[in-house]
Amino acid sequence: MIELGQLEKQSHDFAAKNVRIFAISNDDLESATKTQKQFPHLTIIADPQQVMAKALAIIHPGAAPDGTDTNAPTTFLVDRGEVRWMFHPDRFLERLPATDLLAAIDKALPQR
Amino acid sequence: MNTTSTSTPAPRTWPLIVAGTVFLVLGPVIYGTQIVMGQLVTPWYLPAFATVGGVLMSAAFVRRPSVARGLLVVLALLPTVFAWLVVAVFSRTPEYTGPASVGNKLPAFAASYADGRVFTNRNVETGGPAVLLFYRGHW
Repeated sequence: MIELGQLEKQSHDFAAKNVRIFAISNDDLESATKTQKQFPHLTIIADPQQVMAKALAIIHPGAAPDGTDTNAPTTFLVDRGEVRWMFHPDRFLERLPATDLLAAIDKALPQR
Repeated sequence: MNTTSTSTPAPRTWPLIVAGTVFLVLGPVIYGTQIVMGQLVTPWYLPAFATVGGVLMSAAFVRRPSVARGLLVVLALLPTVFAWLVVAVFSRTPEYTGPASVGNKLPAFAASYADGRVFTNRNVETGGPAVLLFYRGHW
């Protein structure tokens, strides 16, 4: 969850751009509550049945350590319900640095 | 009668073993540093360095075969194969072909806020721009 730490650290930069951050995993509510306390400036979303992940088709089959399905680390920038930019690395070892996300916001939403 | 025996000294292998060990250890050390620094890029250097380490260990075995050097080769090849499998094969994510491509509307979905309230696509559509970041959760 290194990426969440980076986003929390730079949350004021996202707030200045009026961009909200929703961080979604297939953790249950109990784990999500703990994560929410750890990262108070992000909005943690619990998707234990992967309903949201399936709707957006970002499931990585069998990629959890126990062999179950998990989320492929993917980031969507959405404005008025429309996807304006997305990041989907070809390997889950790669994550999006917060600075790159801020730059992508400036590029995709230049009017802000 | 005075005879002089000229035996060839056994080739030195310890420099190869030391260099191989350094390469085998270097990858994980750099990866650990990379994680501490929060730079998560795909660590292709892990299998690459491990391969170099394995090759050096193998060279030591070829120069001077022994059971101990053979074991070192096996010990070097195991992490090498593991690193290649993880980085090149297992970590590969499926190509994105879903409905939320750039320019498309988000599909309908429902999940929960951490406090148990319902969270849907409508919460994203209103209230300004939003980032939806899917992460792999706790392990």
